[in-house]
Amino acid sequence: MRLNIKNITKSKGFSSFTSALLAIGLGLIFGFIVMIVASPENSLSGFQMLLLGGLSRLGDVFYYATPIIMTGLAVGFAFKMGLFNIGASGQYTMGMYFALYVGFMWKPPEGVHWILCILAGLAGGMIWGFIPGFFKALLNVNEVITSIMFNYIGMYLVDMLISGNATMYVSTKARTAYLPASAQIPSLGIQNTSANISFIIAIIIAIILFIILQKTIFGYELKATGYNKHASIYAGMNGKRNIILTMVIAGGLAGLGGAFYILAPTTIPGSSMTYEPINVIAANGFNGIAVALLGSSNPIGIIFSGIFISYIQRGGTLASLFGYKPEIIDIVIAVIIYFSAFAMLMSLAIARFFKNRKVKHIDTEDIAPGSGDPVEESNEITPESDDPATESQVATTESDMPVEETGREEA
Amino acid sequence: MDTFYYLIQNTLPVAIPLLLVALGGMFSERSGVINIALEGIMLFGAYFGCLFVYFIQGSGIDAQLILILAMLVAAVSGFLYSLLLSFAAINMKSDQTISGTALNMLIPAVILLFSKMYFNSDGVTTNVSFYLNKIPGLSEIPVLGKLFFQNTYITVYIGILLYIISTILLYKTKFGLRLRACGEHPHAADSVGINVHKMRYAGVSISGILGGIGGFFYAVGVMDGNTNGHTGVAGFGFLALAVMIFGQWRPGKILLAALFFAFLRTLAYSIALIPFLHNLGINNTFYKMLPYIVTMIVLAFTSKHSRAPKAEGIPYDPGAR
Repeated sequence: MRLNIKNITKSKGFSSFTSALLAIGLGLIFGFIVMIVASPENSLSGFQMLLLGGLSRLGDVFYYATPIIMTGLAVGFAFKMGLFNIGASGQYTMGMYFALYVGFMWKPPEGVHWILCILAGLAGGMIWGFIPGFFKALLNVNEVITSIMFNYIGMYLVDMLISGNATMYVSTKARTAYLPASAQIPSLGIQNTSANISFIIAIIIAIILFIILQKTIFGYELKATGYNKHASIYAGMNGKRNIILTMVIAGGLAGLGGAFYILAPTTIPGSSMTYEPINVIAANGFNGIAVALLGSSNPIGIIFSGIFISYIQRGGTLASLFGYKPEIIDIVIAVIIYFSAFAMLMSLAIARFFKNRKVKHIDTEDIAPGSGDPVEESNEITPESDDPATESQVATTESDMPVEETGREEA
Repeated sequence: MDTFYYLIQNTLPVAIPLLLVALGGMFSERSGVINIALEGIMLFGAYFGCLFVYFIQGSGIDAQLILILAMLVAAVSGFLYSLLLSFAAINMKSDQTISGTALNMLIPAVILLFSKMYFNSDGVTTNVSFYLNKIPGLSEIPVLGKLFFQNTYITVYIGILLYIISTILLYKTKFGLRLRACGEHPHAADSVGINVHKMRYAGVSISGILGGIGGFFYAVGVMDGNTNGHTGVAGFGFLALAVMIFGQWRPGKILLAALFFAFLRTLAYSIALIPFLHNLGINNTFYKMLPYIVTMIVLAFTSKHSRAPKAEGIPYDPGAR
């Protein structure tokens, strides 16, 4: 019995779970503080609405969760390889455009139209994911910069193409027409909600990704590259091919997110089935980063973190009943990302504080095997390095010797 | 010829924010910390600078003095905001790119929330005119006077001054040498008694100061003294990072790169004035994309032999070998 508990609390999944909870808790506390600053008298009821408001809109929670689960998978999958896919936003927008294009311009038979639209979204995202992969693998350009640039390029390009297309664009309304019914994803048939089949598809895709990562050679190579790029190349893995392939898949996932979002039938005004070119970068791509980090890049974890983020977003929208603006949730999400970047370290520190008994150091190796997550990886060396002893060592060895001398000595 | 003068006069106020923020990025990266939060730091500085202008604009103080005071406010706020990145990246050894992204996401949301609640708008709108029509005396010099001392902002001269100070700081002082050592080989620096954590804090803080000032100068020179949470600084923080990479982490090349990008952007926004380009009939949005596309083309050619500081992005761990 005792062994069992120990195994669970020491496992990698458990510690990423506790650190996710820690990050969420800190994010919510910060959000609460912001609410108190913004409008003290309403803060309690507003915060309560933020926490529990989602319960009254569960169907919508699933509707909004679908696109961010997909962008979360897009970010998380690339993370496993050590790539930071901040370009999910541009890939998402491209997927949306391709889906819209097929939705408006093609006239295939009724039953397959929406499937073709989804596949088009997949292709659009893949193209936009291929570019950063190509630049990274063959031209040595950091994928973060490429992705950011292509977020802007994609957004302007889509806005330009849409406002230039007379069939799609209704200039009097400054947005596209509504998609024909045949292009819309079938609803799940739950009353008064916008929940649709795409949510089920997203979960199936997440499970497939989980299997790819755990059970295939490609998944193994991907994680190995995430651990140590040089070692994996030395072991004969084709690093360049894997980088491009990973980014293409990640882009495709984000593109699917865009397609799922735009094709979903809903009664919520102005949210899907039509696109408004207003030169703003899609926020769902960035929410995907939060989803991926909270789910510690694990596809199954991402399903739950996606639902959670969508849930508090609903609550945040409802908090406007008390005079708060929906941006409160963007603040909470940003703070969650900020803390989850080092939550692993914090939860380790807390764990050490509580069981500072015989087990002097929680073996850092216990966390390492099986986790391909570069975020965790960068944290796992920390338990020894945040040792106060080494800190003071750094401070006490201060002297005025110039640097060049060491350079010469070493040479 | 008038078009040419117009382009140069408009390029400089755009180039200065890019230059300052790229220099900020350079200080941070040469100390070993990737500062992708520059976009957020710029917006933070711009917002507080403009907020200061908003509250002081009725008091009858000279516009140029207001600008300088607001610049100081922006510098301090940029510095404070950068401390969040320093703490996460240096003390907590987080993934620097993720922390920076979080900080970039936080600021627009905060600005939108508070501006919507208190000003009922997306940001701050000020009505002080910082524009300089002519600098007495200097604007009479043939050619040069027209290029550099007419229809401009004081930000251009402050920016050039800061550029010179930064270059001297990086190359001619003991501090600059130590900072560079920490970005190349922190263990070697540590072994001769340089406090790597302190130097990295200094590097990120300088980038916060320059980023805040750059953000406010963007609000003055590009946005006419306004900021809002929706457009923010329109990716200038990221463009500045590209300028820094294009400039190979060296002040001299960074200056040229900043001028190049600013010229391109000015050109893109002045298409209507250039008959030749206007007659091509290309969609305006295409020109807005142009700076980003050119960035990618340039990076494709320069990154192969990148001279990035060797230890950038790696948290310093005294125990690692």
